[in-house]
Amino acid sequence: MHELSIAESLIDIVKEHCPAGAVVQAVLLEAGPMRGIDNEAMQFAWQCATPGTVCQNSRLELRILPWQLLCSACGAQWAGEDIYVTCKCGQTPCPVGGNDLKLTGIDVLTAEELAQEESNARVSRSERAEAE
Amino acid sequence: MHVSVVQNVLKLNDEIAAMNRQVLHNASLFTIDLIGAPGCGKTALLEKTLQELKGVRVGVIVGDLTTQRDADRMARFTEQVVQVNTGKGCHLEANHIKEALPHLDLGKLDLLIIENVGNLICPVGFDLGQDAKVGMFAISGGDDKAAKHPYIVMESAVLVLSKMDLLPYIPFDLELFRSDIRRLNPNVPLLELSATTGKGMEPWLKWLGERVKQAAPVA
Repeated sequence: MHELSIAESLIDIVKEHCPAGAVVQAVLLEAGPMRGIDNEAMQFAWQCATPGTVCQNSRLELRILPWQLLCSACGAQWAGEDIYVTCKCGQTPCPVGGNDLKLTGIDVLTAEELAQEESNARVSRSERAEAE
Repeated sequence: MHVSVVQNVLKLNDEIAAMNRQVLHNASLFTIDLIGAPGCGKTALLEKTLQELKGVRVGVIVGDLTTQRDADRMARFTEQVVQVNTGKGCHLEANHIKEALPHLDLGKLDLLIIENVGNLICPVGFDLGQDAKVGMFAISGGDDKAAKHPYIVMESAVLVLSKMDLLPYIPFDLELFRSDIRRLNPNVPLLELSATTGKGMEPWLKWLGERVKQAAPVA
């Protein structure tokens, strides 16, 4: 369950980058396959770790990157979901890299956007009331 | 609004790990992070290592969810043992090591062994400040464990296959196991040994001894 530690670190970083008064809607995370992150476990960890934090009720968008494979025999390089494959030349390729674990962005509703939404809602409520 | 950020999520852990590494290097220590599944024989290997590694002063940090049992086993061979109980944590993090280091007299050590929590997955991604990760498998774990856990195979500076004395009694395709490792990490040394019988311990002790020597201050 290293996903929980990752969720906690992620929340700390989001806190640093979230504009004051904004509400976090989505957090974008990119993980290399070496990290062994399971999306289901990560989502569960996110639900456990976020209540009471700046990330409360936010979505976690996890993108797990494919393996980068390199064939040392013929020099071919490609990305793939499976690590245990054979190169076109017949040799077995080696995985390279795959250790990334990066926050790539945050979707937020800023204080202004929130105020705008609020006033839009108020307008539509009063329009409805007038129509009735 | 989209806030564009690109940041390593484990930056804080990595920063603490870098500080640990500095502290350990200042004390001229060589440090390993021993990672293996529960029951693969990590503690047995360390007991045998501490017994056999002559002239090297060894400190041990042992990580477990709970109990002092591993520290008690180690305490028979060295006074410099710290048990870290992670509670619910499935792996050690750099901060655990930072907190454990003041309990060791680093000036009186040549080698620091960190025995991670028994787990082949979670510990791999967390830098502790070690010089080398050592991945450990056992004959009793089955011949498919390296293939199923590519992360530890790829990240290790050396791999140990233990409980070789059980090979005659357990179906284990040694050639398959070796070829899975070659595919994932073509250059990593694979040391096949038995801590129980002592067979195969020499290359392991030699590997450690050479690195301890390299880390030692030039006299």
